[in-house]
Amino acid sequence: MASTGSAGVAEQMAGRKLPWSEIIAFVAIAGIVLAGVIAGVLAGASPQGILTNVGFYASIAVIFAVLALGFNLQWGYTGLFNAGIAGFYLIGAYTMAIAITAPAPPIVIGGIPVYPGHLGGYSLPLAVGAVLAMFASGAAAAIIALPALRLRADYLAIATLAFASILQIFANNLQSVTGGAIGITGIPKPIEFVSAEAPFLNAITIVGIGSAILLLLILLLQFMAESPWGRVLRAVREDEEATMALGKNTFNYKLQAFAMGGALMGLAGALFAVTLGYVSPSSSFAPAVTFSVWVMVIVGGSGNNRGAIVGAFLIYGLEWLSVQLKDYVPIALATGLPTLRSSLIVGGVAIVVAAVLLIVFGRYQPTSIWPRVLRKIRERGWVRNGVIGALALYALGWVFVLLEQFAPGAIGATIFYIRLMFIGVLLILLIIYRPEGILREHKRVLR
Amino acid sequence: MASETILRVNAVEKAFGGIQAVDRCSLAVLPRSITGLIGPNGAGKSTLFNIIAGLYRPDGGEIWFDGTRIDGLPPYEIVHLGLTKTWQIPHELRNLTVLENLVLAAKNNSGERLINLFLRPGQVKRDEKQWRARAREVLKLTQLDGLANEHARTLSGGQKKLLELSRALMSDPTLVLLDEPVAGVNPALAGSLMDLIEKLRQNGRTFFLIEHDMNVVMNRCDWVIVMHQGRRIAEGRPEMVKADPAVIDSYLGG
Amino acid sequence: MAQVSGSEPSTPGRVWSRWAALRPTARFRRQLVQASIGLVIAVAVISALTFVFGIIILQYAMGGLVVSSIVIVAAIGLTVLYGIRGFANFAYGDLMTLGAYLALLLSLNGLSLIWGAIVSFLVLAVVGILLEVVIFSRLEGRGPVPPIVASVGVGLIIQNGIRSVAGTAEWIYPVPATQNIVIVPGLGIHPVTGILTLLVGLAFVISAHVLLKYTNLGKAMRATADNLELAKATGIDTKRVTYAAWVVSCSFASTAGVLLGLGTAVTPTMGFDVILLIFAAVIVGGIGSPYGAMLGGLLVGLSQEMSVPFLVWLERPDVIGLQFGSAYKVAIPFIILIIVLIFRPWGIAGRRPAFARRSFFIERITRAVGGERGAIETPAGEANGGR
Repeated sequence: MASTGSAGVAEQMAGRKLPWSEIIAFVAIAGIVLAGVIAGVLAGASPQGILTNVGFYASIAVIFAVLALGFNLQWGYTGLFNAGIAGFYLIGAYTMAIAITAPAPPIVIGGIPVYPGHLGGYSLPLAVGAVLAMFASGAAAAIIALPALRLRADYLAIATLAFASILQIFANNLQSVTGGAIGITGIPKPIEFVSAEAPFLNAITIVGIGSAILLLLILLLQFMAESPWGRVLRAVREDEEATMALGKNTFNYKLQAFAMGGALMGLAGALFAVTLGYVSPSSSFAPAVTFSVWVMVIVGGSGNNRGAIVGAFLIYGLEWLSVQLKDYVPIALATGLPTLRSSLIVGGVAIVVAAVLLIVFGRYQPTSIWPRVLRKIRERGWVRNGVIGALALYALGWVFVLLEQFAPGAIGATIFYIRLMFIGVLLILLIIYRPEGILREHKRVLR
Repeated sequence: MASETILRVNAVEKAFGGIQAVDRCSLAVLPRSITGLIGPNGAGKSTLFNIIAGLYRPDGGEIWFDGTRIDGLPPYEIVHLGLTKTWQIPHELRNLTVLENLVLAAKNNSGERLINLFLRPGQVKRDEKQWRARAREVLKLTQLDGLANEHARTLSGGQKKLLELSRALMSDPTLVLLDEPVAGVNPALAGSLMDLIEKLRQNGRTFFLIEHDMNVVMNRCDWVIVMHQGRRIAEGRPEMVKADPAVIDSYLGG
Repeated sequence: MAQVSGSEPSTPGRVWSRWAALRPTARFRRQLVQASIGLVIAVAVISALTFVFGIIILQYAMGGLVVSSIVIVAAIGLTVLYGIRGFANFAYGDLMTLGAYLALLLSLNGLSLIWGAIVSFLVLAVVGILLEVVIFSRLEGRGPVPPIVASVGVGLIIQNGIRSVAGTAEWIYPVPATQNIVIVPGLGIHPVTGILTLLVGLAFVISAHVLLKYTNLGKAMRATADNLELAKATGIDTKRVTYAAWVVSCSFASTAGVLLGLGTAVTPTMGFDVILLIFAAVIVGGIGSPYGAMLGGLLVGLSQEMSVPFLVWLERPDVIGLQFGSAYKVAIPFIILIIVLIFRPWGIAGRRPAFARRSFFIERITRAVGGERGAIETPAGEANGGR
């Protein structure tokens, strides 16, 4: 394919091109962790506490990464858009809880049922519980798939969303099985530490186990994706009718991919149950989880497993960070407000001057440097995006200043929701401009 | 009765909305023949091919292939029985390479079953190697071997048609339905393609092709069937069909 | 059948041909008959149940009708957009929430709720147009998934924007508290949440009907929902129709939100919590068909409320001892939705898609059972969002 201009040169040097987007992603994640650590330091937490906090971030991020891998298998590889991720997640978590906890009969105090009890409590080993969780979620996915996979993408989304909602209702109300609104508590950890450093060590264990699982999954999924079986899946995503005409039972392939994706989501649920120590029909299984996973996979590039993991760490990192910063943003804004305001004013003046210069020189001095700058902005996509991004940040700065001036403290209270709004904006921008995500899929070529 | 013909279409009908695309059409194709299917646009030819290949289910009628009733069977089963079809508008798998497009047309590639990936990795490797080699052979026949590692979306229109044909040949079919196989292909290559089809026919395959290029129809087909408004209106040797007044009427009157 | 020869020059012929346009088509007649039969059956069933179980059935039916009114208004808005723009708007619930909060804001600042609802209606119409211009026009032709994802993003923004500004607490509309009006002992209806809701619902249904059937815009909208390419080819300004669809959709959402807020409370998730219910009504009724949305809304609302006595019966220890049986009532419409998606995805009033391929799974089953041709569903190629 012919390439034009300087873009072609960059492609020709592809062998030596740095993976900029991946570097930026890693830097961003490191930045997030650093910011969280600083926030902890400012709060006067002990090094132990800070490390535990970071460990908690890593363990939940790992869980989201497994969810993202599962969704990536369903959507990125097979093109099945699952809007009920939270449902399979829930099945895995509850199955794990039921399998590995000790029996918990109902507790009635003074005639008032305090705890409704739950099914089982079979005290099975953790590994067995995890396998059961994967099996339960995978089986549920297979059963749902039988009617649902024939549906159009939007019908599939609605059906899976309905499925997840039904599960939440059942989890909340089928008390004798699930423990009702309280849920199932007392889920054993992999290793029961009893020292004072127990929370930290628990976090480390989960991170260790989770990372090992992630590594295994990446290798396994890579192997399956590059296999002939994976090739059929890619063909199904490209054009299902043509693939059928080639002699493939496409429904079977979609079913297998969907079931395996569901099993992975169940594994994530099992990890979640162990990390948290309890499961309840709370917001942990709300549709917001499904939407967050969508963002993670889209950011990472659908079809790209490494990208899904990076996306998970990035997006969950933002959530974790927003919780860390919740107490410090108002203080920081209050103290830094004057400086922020003055720097914004200076910046505004600079922008206006630059714009005027550009326009004036562009009109009257076509041979000088400014029109070339203008042209570069028009031509090169990333320059234009950078300029727009910088301007947007500038405007955001003013928004913060004004908000803080007229509604002090509001930002701190609402930073949790602002983060979610930001995810919404990110979702919209990504799906319009970069549906293939930020980390590009590495093209595989059959030799 | 069914053993004389390799394909028998019996009173097949198919309607879309209010339009009767195929209207109680009956025809038969003899084995080891190159049979042409012609007719004006909208006669229902491609629709009939899609029905035969299992992509649409007929509203009525039966289809027999080599003694087996195939109407209502899913496409993958029909391919396994030995009947393949090319698309009139090429349905290449755009983001896969040409080689991948072909290897996908393989029959019984053990690596395509998930269990085999883990339990019989040696067999998987062997099958894959064998099918890749065969794919390269087929690509040589259709002169696409230089493009084996290009993504299918980079192919020209004519090359995509060749890809269609190559895919149809991969699974060693008994009967191949070709929907305008040489439309958009340069005449020299079209000629060698039809030579290839002739050679394959001599090896025992049957070809049933839709074509608008009258040269191909006249010079290459043993037998021609004419469809108009969803039914068969004439059939016979090419010269006879060409002179048939009903056929001429259908093309002019529309 | 609906064709009338207009070639006769005599006056009776000309008058007759003018009325011909208003004569219902055969398909509409058939649907009307089916709907009437359905209605008669429903009334018969309810009457029978009332006869057996007492007046409480009617109370639940009344509750079901109220829920249905809200759902119908919302579903008409959703189905119009779904049919014309071709995607499932997952932000619809949050648009309802936005409408409710706007009305709340205005009514807390001195306007009466009615004016608040009207202003909210207009503001949301503008919001709809903005959404189309800024976001959704860029996603045309990209298949069904990108608009869904974008609508989820929009929903996140709206829902969390409301949370940031108004907090997560429950609000109640400043409407004077009134008692239920008792019709018959055991059967009461609340003047605001009951009668007003029913009347508003009816008014919106009638206006939608008038808009779609008797205005040029409405006819253009119906044509576009039916077949976009054909509509463009016959010179309909599909851009204008799209904007009109967004206006209708979002403004209906705002009214449905206000009604919902009246009936329950105003919370940031009030719309999102019911979105599946609305989708159920739309899909059961047939995407793109407002009349289907009405029927679907009726079915969904009634089934949800009237399942309560049955669920309560299930709570009894001698049946299955189901705990919190009535809490499962919200699951009933979802189950109906899933069943419809399996067996009849085009809904009550939708058209069986022409290029439908059978499901080989159901095909095998029906073959085994010896039944005639089973369900048809959309071509497999669409499952990947199209080429």
